[in-house]
Amino acid sequence: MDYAQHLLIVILLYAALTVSLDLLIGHTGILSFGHAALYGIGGYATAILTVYVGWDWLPAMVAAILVGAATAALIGIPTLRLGGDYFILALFGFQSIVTDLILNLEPLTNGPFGIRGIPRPSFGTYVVPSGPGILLFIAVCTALIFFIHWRFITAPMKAMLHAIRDDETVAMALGIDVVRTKILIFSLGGGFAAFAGALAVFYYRFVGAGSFTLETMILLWAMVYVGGSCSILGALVGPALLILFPELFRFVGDIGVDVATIQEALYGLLLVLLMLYRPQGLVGRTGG
Amino acid sequence: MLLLLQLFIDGLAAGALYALMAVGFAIIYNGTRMLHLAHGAVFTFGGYALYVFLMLLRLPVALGLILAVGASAGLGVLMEIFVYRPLRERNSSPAAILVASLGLLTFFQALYALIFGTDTLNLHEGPLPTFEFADLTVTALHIVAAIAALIVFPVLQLFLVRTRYGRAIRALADNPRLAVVRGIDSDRLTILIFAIGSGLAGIAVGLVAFDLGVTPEMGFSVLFVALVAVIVGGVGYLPGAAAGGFLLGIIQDLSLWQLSGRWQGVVVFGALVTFLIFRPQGIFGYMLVTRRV
Repeated sequence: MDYAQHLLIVILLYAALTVSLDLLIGHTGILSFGHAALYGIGGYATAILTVYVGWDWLPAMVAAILVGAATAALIGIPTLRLGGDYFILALFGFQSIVTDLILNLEPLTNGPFGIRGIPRPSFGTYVVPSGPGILLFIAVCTALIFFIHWRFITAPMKAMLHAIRDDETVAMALGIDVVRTKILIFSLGGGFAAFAGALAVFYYRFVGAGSFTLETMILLWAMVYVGGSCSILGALVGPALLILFPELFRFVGDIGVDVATIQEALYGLLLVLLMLYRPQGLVGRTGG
Repeated sequence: MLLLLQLFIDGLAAGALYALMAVGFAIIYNGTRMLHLAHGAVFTFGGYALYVFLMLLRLPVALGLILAVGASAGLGVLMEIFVYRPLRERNSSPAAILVASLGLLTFFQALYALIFGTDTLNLHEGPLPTFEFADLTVTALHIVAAIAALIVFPVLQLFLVRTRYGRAIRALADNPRLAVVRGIDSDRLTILIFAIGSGLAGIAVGLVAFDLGVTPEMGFSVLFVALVAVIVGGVGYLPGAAAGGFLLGIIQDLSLWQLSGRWQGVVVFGALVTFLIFRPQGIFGYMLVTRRV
């Protein structure tokens, strides 16, 4: 039961990341490779502010979200005005140096050892307990992210974002400030990613560089595309499948090879086959 | 002063590696407008091919090198035929092609780890032979890197400028529709483009594999520097990519004068951001290559 609860929490955390990444990739056409790094920045900001600075959890979380959004804006302003490929390459670099920086800025991040002892959220004297309490807390926050996402992709905003995604020149001709909107959406996505990072460290009570690597970034992209981009249901299905899938290996028992590596090979193969035969994902409807 | 000169020489050798990788990536990018991230996996494939040919089969070094270059070229061509071409024929979005190439990169890196393990495999026992010139140390690898660069780049340039196929490749990069109208078979030519680009990765891997050995993930960091080199040199201009590669190699090694080696990734990223802000078209680029995503 405890384990099922743990899996559910992990799925919710990844769903929050997936839906916010999909706002960038699926709806606005911002092909961001920086989501795992922004997730890490949110986690580390929360950990540093609560453990080292001694802030309460709520101001730390709000500050982490702002740091995530500000970092995204800082990266987005010089790169989003250039063509799509420049942005992709720059974010590819951003992802790899954030891992470098976390490992090398030891006074701030404690290097490879990570930061322990992050406090649980509390309301007055009530500290959210492990178990159903923290599950409920993360579920409510994830629902909030899904709700904001849903508000953004309904009504006028959706048409504007899709116009930018489908044809920037036409969007500009229609009077949309393409670059400004993209920077805005990218910062919003950065804020969401940092939010998820804060939630993750409240749950694990630990933050380490290993959770925000290139592999995480690829996993997030896989989650968006397995479920299907531009699909709210897909943002739940993708993480659920990819988190639960490795659990199948538990029943196989020890087969003498590294299970994580087999998973990675299968994710890779799955991505290639999906793009070839079902680019809209498992439950998505529009084309990739 | 001597230290700086030594670092400069080391930087030139590293630069030859990045330049080969950058030109290989750029020739594919220019011809197909695809971000072939799996190029990093092709590079690593060459390294493992070297290991198999030289350490397991004990073939002569020259033969092993040629076969490894061929193996890299072959893998690149297979990716084009079985993944990229079908994707283009289905009118896939750039995002879908990007995801597929990311999938290929992940798949192959995991495959190498499953077959060969994650430990570093060495192609060479003991340190490389070194030579001393007036207090400067030059390893055999430096010399090989210099020879490789001095042969490969002029030959490639002559091929692209003087031969029919070379001109066809440039025509396709310049204006794909017009090239097809003029009777160029773009599918066949793309296979040649992938063979050349991937073969260059196979040459590049030799420059690092003999020194540092082979690991499943070695391709990624080299690919990253190569991508930055393409931007720094100017997207769309091959000699620019080569120059960018040398420049980054030199900057990276000169930074060792003041910074420890673990900051090298940050140095490269700093160069990228500087260029993106102040000169996004690169050193030699005359225009920004924009494409709708």
